[in-house]
Amino acid sequence: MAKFLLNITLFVFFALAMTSCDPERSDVAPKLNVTIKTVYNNQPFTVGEIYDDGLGHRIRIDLLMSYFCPLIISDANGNDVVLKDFHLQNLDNDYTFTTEIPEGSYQNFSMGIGIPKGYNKDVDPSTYPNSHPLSVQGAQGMFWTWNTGYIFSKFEGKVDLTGTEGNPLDHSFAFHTGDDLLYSLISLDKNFTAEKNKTYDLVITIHADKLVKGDNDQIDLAVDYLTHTSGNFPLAERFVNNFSSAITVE
Amino acid sequence: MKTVIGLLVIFVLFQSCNTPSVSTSDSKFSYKAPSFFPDITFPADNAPTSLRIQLGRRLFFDTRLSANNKISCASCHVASMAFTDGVEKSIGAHGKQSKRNAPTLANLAWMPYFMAEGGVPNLEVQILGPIQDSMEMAFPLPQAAEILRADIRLNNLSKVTYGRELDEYVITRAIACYERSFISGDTRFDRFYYLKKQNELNESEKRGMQIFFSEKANCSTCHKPPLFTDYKFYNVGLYENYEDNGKERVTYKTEDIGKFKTPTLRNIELTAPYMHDGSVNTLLDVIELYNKGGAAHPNKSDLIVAQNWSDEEKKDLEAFLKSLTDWNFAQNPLFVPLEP
Repeated sequence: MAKFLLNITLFVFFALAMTSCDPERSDVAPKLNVTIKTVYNNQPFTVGEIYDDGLGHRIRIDLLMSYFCPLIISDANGNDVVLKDFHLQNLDNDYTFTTEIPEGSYQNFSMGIGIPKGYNKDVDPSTYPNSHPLSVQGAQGMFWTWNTGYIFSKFEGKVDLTGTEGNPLDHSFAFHTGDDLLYSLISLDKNFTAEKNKTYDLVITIHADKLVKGDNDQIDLAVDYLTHTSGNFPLAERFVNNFSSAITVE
Repeated sequence: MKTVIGLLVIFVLFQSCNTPSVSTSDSKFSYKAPSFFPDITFPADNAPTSLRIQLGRRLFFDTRLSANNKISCASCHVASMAFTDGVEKSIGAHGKQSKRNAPTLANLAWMPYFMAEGGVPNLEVQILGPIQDSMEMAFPLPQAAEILRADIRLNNLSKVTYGRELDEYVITRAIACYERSFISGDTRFDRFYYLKKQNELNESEKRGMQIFFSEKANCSTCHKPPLFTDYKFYNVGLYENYEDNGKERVTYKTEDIGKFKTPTLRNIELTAPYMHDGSVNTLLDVIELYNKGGAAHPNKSDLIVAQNWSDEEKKDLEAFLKSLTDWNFAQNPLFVPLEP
């Protein structure tokens, strides 16, 4: 009897071991590699490099940071999968993360530029753990010191208005946008079917050149070079509109 | 063996001498507010205790919260000047001038929102501002917290009273707790008006008080006792063109240009220079501004109209305003640094 039980036990273990080694029988959820990268005139963007701003000015971007909250893909039935709730990125560097997603047919990618209402104002950053993008440390200075709320995007640098090679870049520009009124949720087509055991790529590209050289609005840095949202709300709004149309997804 | 034990005892004693002693028990603290003041409502996570106030007091005077290690909260908020600093605009850690005149910190426990345009919702959040503002203390708070956490006494206080290591959360809460203890309501005016002690004000001050509360002058409409503010926003006609737009900065509405929160007049004698930008040097100059009805501005409040006061009336008004000085507040021994 004891020998019989031993045999049965060995058989069960052997069967389980064989099953788990069979890749056809595994049950791994689809994976999605999400990359956020920045380009300028379709070439990789580098902080400190000198570019043309579309009006013949020579422009050097020294800081480009933004909150993207949230990142979502949606299926054909409108069901959302949140890839990330809150994400702050210094756009000097590409950023990639991998997440599991449910099987299904996806049609849409959407992304907030800024922080949604309810998480932005009347919030105390010191109540978040330091690892959180909305904490004092995690926010990396992206909240106002004189007002409630987070700075959604910072775009800073220098410009040479003569556009002459060798001339100093002696004019500063700074765009700090924020406020619930300027939160923007963009939505782009992204069709793919996610199956088990497969990995997919989602590449979000920020076209930094389009922040001033928008599809419908060229910001002239000789005239419009400074907004902290307050002080020049219309300019902040123009910048946000340009930002919203400066994103593509592959 | 005896030698070893002896050395061990000496070692333990030596170690304990190097560690600052911190009380291991905390107790509720009751702010002493005058009976004629409204009740205080505390944030749910920051009720006052004796150790929280002690920790806040140490942090309030701690220069390690600034980029150059030379500026503390108390540098621009000096108790003897009702927690102002006597200059038009303070100079920050990087030598930059701040944008506004340092406001008094008296009676913050009743303030519904902070900053002159009212954009900051509570005192705990407000404290994040000056520490990190590049024109003020200019130091990233996480960096300051790391330095202060290495201070055994401060960190132990934090653990006992907030149940966690000293961090951004504790720093903002402890300082807020201490600042809420800056209660000022013991003036000659208070003793005269609320406690009915008739001899507290002289004749000139009484005449000034009549002007202040008169319908014609309208001072008390905005500077409403007992706190001498209504916490609302007005354009008082300081300028025809404002460099600092005040309330408009948070509402983006042109009708809010030049509107600033009504400041308290308690201890006004000690808080010169005046107005949001420190542009008016003396109390008599402020009185003269209102006497003339202010500069023409489309947003100027209807309450600001020319008064045509005589010189005597102006002096009476000034005398009354000086009766709002709380000398016990300005000289309160709790508002100076603790012994190291």
